[in-house]
Amino acid sequence: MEYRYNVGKHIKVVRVERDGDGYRISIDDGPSRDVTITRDDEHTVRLQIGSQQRRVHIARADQTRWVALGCDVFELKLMQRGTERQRASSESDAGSLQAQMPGQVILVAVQEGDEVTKGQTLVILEAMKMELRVQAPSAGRVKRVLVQQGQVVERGQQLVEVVSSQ
Amino acid sequence: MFQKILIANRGEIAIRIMRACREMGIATVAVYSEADRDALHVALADEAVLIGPAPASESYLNIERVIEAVKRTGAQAIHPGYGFLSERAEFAQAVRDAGVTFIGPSPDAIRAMGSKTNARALMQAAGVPLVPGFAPSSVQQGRAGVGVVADADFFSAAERIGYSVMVKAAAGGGGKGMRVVNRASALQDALDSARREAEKAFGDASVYVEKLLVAPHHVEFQILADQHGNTLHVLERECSAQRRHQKIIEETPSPLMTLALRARMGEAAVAAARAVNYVNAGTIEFLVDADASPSRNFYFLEMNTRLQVEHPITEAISGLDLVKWQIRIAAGERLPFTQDDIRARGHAIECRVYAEDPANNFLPSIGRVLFAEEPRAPGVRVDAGVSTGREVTRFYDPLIAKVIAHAETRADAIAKMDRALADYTILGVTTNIAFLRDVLASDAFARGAVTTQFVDEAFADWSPQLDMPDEVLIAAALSETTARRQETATTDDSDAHDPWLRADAFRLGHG
Repeated sequence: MEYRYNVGKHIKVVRVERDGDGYRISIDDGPSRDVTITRDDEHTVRLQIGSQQRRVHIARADQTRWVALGCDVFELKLMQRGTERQRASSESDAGSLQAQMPGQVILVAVQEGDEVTKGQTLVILEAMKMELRVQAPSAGRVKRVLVQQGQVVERGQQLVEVVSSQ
Repeated sequence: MFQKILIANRGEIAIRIMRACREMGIATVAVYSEADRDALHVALADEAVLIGPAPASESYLNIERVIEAVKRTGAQAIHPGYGFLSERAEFAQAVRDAGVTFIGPSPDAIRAMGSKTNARALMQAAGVPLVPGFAPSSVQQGRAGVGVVADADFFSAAERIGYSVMVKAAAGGGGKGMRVVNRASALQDALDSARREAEKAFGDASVYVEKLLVAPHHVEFQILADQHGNTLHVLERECSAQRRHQKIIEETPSPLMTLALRARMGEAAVAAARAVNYVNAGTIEFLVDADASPSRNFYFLEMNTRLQVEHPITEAISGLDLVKWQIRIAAGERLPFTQDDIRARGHAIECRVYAEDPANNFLPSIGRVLFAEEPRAPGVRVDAGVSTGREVTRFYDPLIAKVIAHAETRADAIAKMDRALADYTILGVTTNIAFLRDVLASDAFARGAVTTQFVDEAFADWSPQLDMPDEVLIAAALSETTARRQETATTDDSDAHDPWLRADAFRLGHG
């Protein structure tokens, strides 16, 4: 099996094959390694990689994987088929503004068709007593408003689309 | 002594107060909002009362609902914790009027310290040093900010004090209505906008002007005062490690403290508390000059008329349980020790664990805590508001836990804290733990030279370590393999040896 993870700005590909009691695993185009795994409890496993043993905590929610190794916690996203293309297309669409944090939309300050100036507040989000202003990255026209006041949004959810006039 | 106490708060502080009650044989009542049905503080209380919908304004800040809950459960006292209603004089009054004891100061003391201009006037009369400033009373300023005092008076005051100055809201707090002004030409704008913001936030447009201190230390003194006229301080706390005016690391003793300075500041702190006839636990906050001259200046900043978030470090070095003393004082007991009995033993540090993402501009992080494992070691205390399976919601403060380390020396305490943070695993919500460890490991922190501006300046471009060890990817991929095979529910014998598959608690999609 092959799994793709979104790690910061990179994509990592992990190949896993069953091999007797363990697995043969390779990352990207690296060499394959023999791994055996022992599960201590619901969120704790020990990996035996060659002569080295490491204890790891792991938890999963939707596509997100949380892994604690040593002193550090890492967050990675499992990519589903097709998400690479989606990601690429959303990145090219620079005028589409996403929620940088989960929270509630407490104000939608613009309507579709409005002309906006650079830095103008379009939407205000609130979470944990903190207000976050979503501002126009450049002057332009509001093409679409995708949320309404009072709505609860996830991090990364599209809020407004602005077509740049520059 | 009380038989039952209602705790008008949530999260880690509600749990910490309940622990003190339990140890004293006092029954506890929790209150909760609809968002907190499954919260830890509800599970740990003897009784719990639903007081309203998720928004704090309709539940934890709703005085009527809290009073109803205390009447219904027959609790004899209310502990307000910190935040929420803890510094609202009208709440303390309503509790009294209901015939219930408020575990805290009198409504008058809360009111006196709540108005910053009023507090300045009282402190001046009591001989407590103040930041040079100009603070006419709200009456002199009039409701709309155009009363007896003219804007020209602010201009001449600012000239006299010398720029840069701060414009602050008299009813202030939380950084609202605060402006830094570097020159006279910017003062009018700052006055106008600070008044607008203050009017909106506090319903009082009064402002005052203070000199802006450059890179000061924030040092505060813990006060304990009983109802019989005994007022003493339980040493200081250094709280200069702040991110955007929010404390993140506190320690005691303060690295800059000398016996002579402690005597001067302690005396001023006690005088400040006495000036408002203060009873119960409270904290006097000072700013201290960064320059290390023997005659170092300090200035009264404000008084917090409640228990502080960072009270555990004082408990660690003094050996006193401050919450138990709050309860005993409210019940009328006398402090059985004097100022001379208060001694510091060792050094204590607290780190605040926030559900926020340091790599994403410190924005809040919410979700279910999928796994939490707290550090355990001699001298390490964890006051946590969450545990495995609990939800961090968007409605309340992002503070989810406090880690406190107590050791013989400052260096030992730093090392102990670093190890404790490394051993604190929280999966499911992003926390600032890695950030805290980097601040703790900084040269400035090691030297005890952290000022209130340090973290914002030195860690402006902080980002977490990006190299992901292969083991992390391997563990993730193996969890997919297992999950996928569980999904297809094979009964293939060849899987019988798979340790992940044999365990039955692995829930897909929920962790």
